Amino acid sequence: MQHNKAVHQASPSSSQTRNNPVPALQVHRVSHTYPSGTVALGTVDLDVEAGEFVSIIGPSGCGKSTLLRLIAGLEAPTTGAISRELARPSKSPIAFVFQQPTLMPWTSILANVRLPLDLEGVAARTSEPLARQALARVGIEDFAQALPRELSGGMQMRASIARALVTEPSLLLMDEPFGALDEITRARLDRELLAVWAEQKLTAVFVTHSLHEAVFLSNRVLVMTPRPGQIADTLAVNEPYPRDESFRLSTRFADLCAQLSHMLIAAGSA
Amino acid sequence: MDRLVRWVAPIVVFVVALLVWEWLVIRLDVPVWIVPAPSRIGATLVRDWPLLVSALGVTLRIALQALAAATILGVGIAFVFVQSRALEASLLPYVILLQVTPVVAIAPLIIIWVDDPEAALVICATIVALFPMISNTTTGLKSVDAGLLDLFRLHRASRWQVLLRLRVPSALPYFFSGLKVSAGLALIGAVVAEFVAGTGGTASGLAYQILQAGLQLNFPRMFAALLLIAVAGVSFFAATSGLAWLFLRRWHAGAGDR
Repeated sequence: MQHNKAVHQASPSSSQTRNNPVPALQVHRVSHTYPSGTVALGTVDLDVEAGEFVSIIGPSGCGKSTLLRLIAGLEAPTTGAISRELARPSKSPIAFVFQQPTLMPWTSILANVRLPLDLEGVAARTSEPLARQALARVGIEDFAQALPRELSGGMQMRASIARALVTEPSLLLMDEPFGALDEITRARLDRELLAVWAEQKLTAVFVTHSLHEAVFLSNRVLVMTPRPGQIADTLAVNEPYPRDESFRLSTRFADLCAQLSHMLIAAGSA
Repeated sequence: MDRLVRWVAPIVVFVVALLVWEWLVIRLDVPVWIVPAPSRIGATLVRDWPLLVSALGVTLRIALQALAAATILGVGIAFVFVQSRALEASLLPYVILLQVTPVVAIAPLIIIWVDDPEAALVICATIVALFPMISNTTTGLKSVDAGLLDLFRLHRASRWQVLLRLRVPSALPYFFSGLKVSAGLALIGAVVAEFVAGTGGTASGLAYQILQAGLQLNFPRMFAALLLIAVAGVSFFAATSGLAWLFLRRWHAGAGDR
């Protein structure tokens, strides 16, 4: 339907972006230790190019969520430094999609999606059409006036993604966003996410615990060791975009998943 | 079916209980100064209606003023508590002290200190009704979804934006459950304070009528006044529940269960 169309339209521009090697994000010898002394994240070095889709995979508790929060600036690193060269100058260059939809239950989907703009002080007359566009991009424009609880889990997640896109961020950070969804919905949202990523020329960092999802989505998959997590290995997925279900069904996909699985075992994660 | 049972069943219980009560009083020939028959109480209620209704008005006025004061003060104190941990830590012990001190113990002092008897009663009732407002609203303002708080921080929301757009709506369900408890307590506080004040109070509320009727051995009037207090309490609960339902029914799962 609509979503597949977007994938095809978007493909040329996204590959252009990826040929331009500007590190959008540099994580330099960053680690994080809680005041209690618990080491949440070992020392990590990571460069992400503008327009790249990078996934981080690792066992639970390895610090992949912490790494994402550090990149977002929600936590300060204990050691090291993070620099972000973000192309689009906007008040909110970074968007974050949480494990849960994290919507305000008391207000409409439209008001939820508009929230980041409201917080920036954008007038309603400007923010409302932008929010409607973002809803249309994820295919739930008909539910603008609905309350979050009236929507299914998958649709709530779409609203959450629409909210992340509404500020036109350059860097999209996602923390296992589809982890709580069923396999069918997850595969569909993976495809839609790729379409939006290509269309918006986003730089994406995606935390997941699914090998298949990581391989399907990413240019690069980073494998982390168990706690305290460090980056053990990297899998490059040299498969052109747009990717669709035929990639998921190919032997190449199966080989890449097997390689990734071996990397996880070697890292002591599986 | 469920709805019907919820409304009809308590009424049936009420009517049956009254009939049994009436029958027992007649059957056992219970003297009126021990337990008057419901028919006798009803007759008194009609005969003394002007007196009782003006007494009810006084008690309700005190209770409503106390509830309003408790709500404004409680919410204000909760806002302060949430803004500063140091302030909360320094004031909370005294709030608890106020809560655990029985109002009957401090009411005589307040009645001596405050010239206007009605104001003294309102202060007593406010003290009784205040704690649930502070405690619930504070809990509510703090029970904010951690993810939403992160989102607000990510978009550099001001403290004010976090308070108005996130903390206040999150606190509403807690606020309303506090309001339900406080409404009942404001009425209890008003009645207890009137009892303690006795003739030193406004000398016109329902508690005063109960005291006077007791002295005059007018038991049917005592029971009639008691009935009015009970009806007022139930009405307070129904009104605050209705208010909560009105505000929360759209989004809060617990709003429908009253």
